[in-house]
Amino acid sequence: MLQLLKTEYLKFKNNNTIILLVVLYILLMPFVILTGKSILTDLPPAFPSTSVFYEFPTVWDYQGYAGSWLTFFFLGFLVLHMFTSEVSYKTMRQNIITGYTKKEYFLAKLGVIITISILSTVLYFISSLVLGMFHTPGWDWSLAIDNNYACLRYFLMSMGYLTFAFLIANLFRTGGLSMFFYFAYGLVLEPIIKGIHGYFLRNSSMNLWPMNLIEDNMPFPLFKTSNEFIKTQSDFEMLNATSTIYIGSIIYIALFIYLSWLLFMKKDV
Amino acid sequence: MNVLKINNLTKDYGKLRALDHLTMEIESGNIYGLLGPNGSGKTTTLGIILGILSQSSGDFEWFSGQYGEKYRMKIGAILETPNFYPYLNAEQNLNIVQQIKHSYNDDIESLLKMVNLHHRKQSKFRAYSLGMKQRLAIAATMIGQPEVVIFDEPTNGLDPEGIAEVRNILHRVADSGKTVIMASHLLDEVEKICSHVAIIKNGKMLATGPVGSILNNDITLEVASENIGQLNDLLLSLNWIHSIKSNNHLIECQMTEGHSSREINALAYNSGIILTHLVSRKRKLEEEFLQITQN
Repeated sequence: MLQLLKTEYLKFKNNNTIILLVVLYILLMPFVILTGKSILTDLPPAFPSTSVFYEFPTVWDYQGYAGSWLTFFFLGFLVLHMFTSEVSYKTMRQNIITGYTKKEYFLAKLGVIITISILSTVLYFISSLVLGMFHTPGWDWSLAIDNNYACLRYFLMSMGYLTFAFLIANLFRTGGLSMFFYFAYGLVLEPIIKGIHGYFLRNSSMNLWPMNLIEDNMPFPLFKTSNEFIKTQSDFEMLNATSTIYIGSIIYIALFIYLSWLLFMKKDV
Repeated sequence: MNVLKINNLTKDYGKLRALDHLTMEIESGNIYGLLGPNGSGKTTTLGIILGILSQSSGDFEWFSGQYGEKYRMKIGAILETPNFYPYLNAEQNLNIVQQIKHSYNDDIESLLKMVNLHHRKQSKFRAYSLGMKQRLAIAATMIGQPEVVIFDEPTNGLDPEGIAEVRNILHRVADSGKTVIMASHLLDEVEKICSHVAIIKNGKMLATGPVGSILNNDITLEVASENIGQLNDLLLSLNWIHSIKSNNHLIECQMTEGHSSREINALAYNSGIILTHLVSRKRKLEEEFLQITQN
């Protein structure tokens, strides 16, 4: 597996698109929520100050929410590019001719997805920790790691988005179509489907759609505070229950990988 | 030793049968030319035996099965076009081939010298001309000391200079003792390099065997005279001359084995025909190929 990952690294370390995406992700990760300091001068009444963004323990929520968008856009794009560019350069085909089995090729790509998810989680952990340390007066470790399982949820979120991107890339194979469908599904199509679902069946099952459930790992932080209020309006919660999120995420990730595998093995390279 | 056995290989694309029960064997150390018109099934055949296309029926076996599904590690191959990472240079691209082939002791420098790319080894692949890309692809097939090399139209789309360079490289590869399978339109090249040929059309094997056995022993004769009509009549009267094709200036015909151009000259002279042109030569693979594929 390390050999496969090393080869993937050699393939992409000089790819400008990949470098740009990784650099932007790393730079934006700690800074995107800091922009709130300068932009958000007028705060809604729910917020006493912007410091809630950067203090323990809520920094884990805000940083996670910002990171989930960055992951969806930048790392999702990266996975799509990593797969579809090799189809269009015909290097996927050449890799197989050169000696990879199809299984090895698939494992190499899956290995990259898992590695990226781990690294982005590490980055999330470090950037949240540093932000919190600088902004929380009198912080200590027990307070810092008070927000339980944030890193696990971040990892599941990342794996969820990236394996979904992998599935889409396997389905369409061409860069343009894959990117269009990935972003269109995540941003437009699923919210519409969810809306239609809710129109006919207005209960918590409408929250089980994959992008929604995966997003719930790192939800919009205000949903947590407003959940009680929303409950009185629609007699079910905006967010999936924690156990549903964990189990659902794992099921979706496994499903995306399995379907990718079936598609990959079925199609000629 | 048997390197590759292909047994009744058939490939259907919907209603189109691209390969029709193709059977052949490749012996170790031989140089095979795979010939056929465009769309005859050459690339489909190579795609299937390299495991990137799935056949509809039939089977094939590499190296008597001793490497299992990892047989490609022992084969260097290019199919259709040279495929590399456009943003990487020659060295980096070859490094990736090394990684995949688990071969780390190749002399990349001398490989690049062999294909005359050494001076451009730091240039990105996307900046290469088609000829340079083909040459890099040939260098890539040499990585990991493969037992078999496969070239699919290695001179396609090249200019005369590029063709000459690739031809020189192919000669060197062929001399190195490896088993070579080469699909090509350049029948002159195949005739010079290959020890064996297989001729495919519409997915069917039309002829296969050593080059010598494919070329029949008839001699091609070119004759001309100011009195071309009379010359034509004379040739038609001879039963050891056949396949007469004439135009206003020149007659081309086939002479069966055992006769010589001298006889023609004498017969013509005695009939009062003065020849202005008389050339006899062995039949070329190209003529054989056209005859086989047109029947």
